Amino acid sequence: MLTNVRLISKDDLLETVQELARDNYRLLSITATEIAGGFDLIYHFAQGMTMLNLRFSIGYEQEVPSITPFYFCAFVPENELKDFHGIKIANLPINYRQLFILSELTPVKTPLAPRAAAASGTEVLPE
Amino acid sequence: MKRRTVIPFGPQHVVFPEPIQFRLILEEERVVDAIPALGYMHRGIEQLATVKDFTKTLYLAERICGICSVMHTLAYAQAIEELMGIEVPPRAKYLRTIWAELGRLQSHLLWMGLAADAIGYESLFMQTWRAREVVLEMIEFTEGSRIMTGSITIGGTKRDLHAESLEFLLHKLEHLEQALNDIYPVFSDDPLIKQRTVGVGLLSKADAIKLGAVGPTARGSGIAEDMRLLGYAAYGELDFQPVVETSCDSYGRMLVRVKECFQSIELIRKAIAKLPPGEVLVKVKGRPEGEVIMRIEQPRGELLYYLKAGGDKSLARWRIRTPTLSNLPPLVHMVKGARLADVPLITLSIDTCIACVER
Amino acid sequence: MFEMLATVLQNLVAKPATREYPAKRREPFPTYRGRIESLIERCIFCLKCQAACPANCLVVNRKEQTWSVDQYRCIVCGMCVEVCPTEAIVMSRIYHGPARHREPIVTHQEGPIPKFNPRAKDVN
Repeated sequence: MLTNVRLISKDDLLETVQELARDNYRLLSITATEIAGGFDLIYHFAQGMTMLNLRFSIGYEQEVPSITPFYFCAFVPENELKDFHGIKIANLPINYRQLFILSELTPVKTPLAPRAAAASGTEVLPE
Repeated sequence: MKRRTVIPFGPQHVVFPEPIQFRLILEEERVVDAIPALGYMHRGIEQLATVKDFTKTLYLAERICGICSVMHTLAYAQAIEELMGIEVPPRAKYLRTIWAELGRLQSHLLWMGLAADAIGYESLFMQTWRAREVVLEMIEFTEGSRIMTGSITIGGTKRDLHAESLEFLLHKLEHLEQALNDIYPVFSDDPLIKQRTVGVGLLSKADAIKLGAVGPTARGSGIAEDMRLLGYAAYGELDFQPVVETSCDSYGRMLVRVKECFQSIELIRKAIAKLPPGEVLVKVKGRPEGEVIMRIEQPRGELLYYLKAGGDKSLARWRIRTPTLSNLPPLVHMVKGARLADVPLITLSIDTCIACVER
Repeated sequence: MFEMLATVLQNLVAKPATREYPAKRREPFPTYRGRIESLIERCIFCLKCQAACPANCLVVNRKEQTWSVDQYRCIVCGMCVEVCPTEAIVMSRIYHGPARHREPIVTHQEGPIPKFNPRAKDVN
């Protein structure tokens, strides 16, 4: 089951992550799930064997601050969020502009967020 | 300022069995920066799982990666079992452990062969893969297939090990140990190998934590982290300690893998000795609901699954964070300051599995 | 320096570790899963195998009494063998060889569809 979840708000993210970075937590990954009206984000951290999950939700149009300044390795999951879900990440230092894993030729942008694409009309279908 | 050159490393390169590109920025012969470029073989598995039946997704999980196929099915089956509240019979847990360790053995031996090949040590490469054939024979005999075994299923295992199979396993393990005993001193002492690996691709313990290194990459930098210590399957009942090296370079990471082969043999022997009798499969009814995080130790490191199901026949979300994805930032850090000629070996030292990265 | 030397010398005088493949073949182990084969005369066209197949390689047509499998799509997982109520699908040890074209193998059943008797298994 999902244990050790700490519910936070989007504005507290940077502060909390800074504390975790100081306490030598490892960043495991960032997971996004599309929910009604937005995304549910989980930041997975671990210290040794114990996990700590930070969780908050955002709307489709809201921006998430980048945690890459604290954790360099966060550029991988953050670029994935952009690719797969079209989540807007503010001040991302290493920005692949939605070309990290998907390419210009990928027929569907944001494949894991179909509702977001339908709402904004950004979905590009193959000809 | 010195003149900078950009050299594309990959997507087709002799050390990579799969396509990935690194754009290496060089100052004379030193690498100052590296930019990974992915996306040559993205298959959309996370997306496919949201439309496929959750029992059939098990086979999809197996096909994320050919080398760690057993681990992916194990992680997926355990996650679904936790969601549905299924208690797996103890015999099935031990069988899963045995097969997972056989999978680890063949993966590590494959890597050792590739590393020897990248160094240019052809005879060692052949000797290592000859030992790997013994492991593949064990897998074929007990599971009915060499790579995509499909033995682990939701609720237990599909196959059982009979007295004959156990005898075969123990007999072959003896062969394998003998072969490994011949190979081990070459990896640990040979000056050719030492010249190419000692002090190459340094990753300090603090950097390893900060950059999120996992598996042998982390253990080669002195972090005693092994997800098997969480005690999933039967690992909780088999006494073992993670293999740790403190040299923080390619040599340390290599030794971790070589020593883990011996550890796997010991674990299989212990599991066979303790193998309890009884059923291996319980019937599964109903549909999964809820959220779960599953962490498993793959040959390449820690695998993280996040599953969300809403009581439908397919999953709502299946997030796969594979070990190589986590080891990419440490790799970028390691190649900085290295010579161009050492880059192939450094990239190999994290055991890149691109199929895992791109899912 | 000479850790490898003993092994190399040993290999020099020993028999080769490999086989001359097409001439000499190793028999697959008894539990090996090569490919699935249909015993079409037993098939009752219940469509269970088609529904269970994770790779969607089976197409069963009750009307025309045909059962077809795309061997290059099949992942040899054995799900169809497990769910078949009349044991009309069996696992063969022989793996499917190469072919020029990727075509499904269609087997056709002659005569009326057999009646399903749940106890038929025990009799055979």
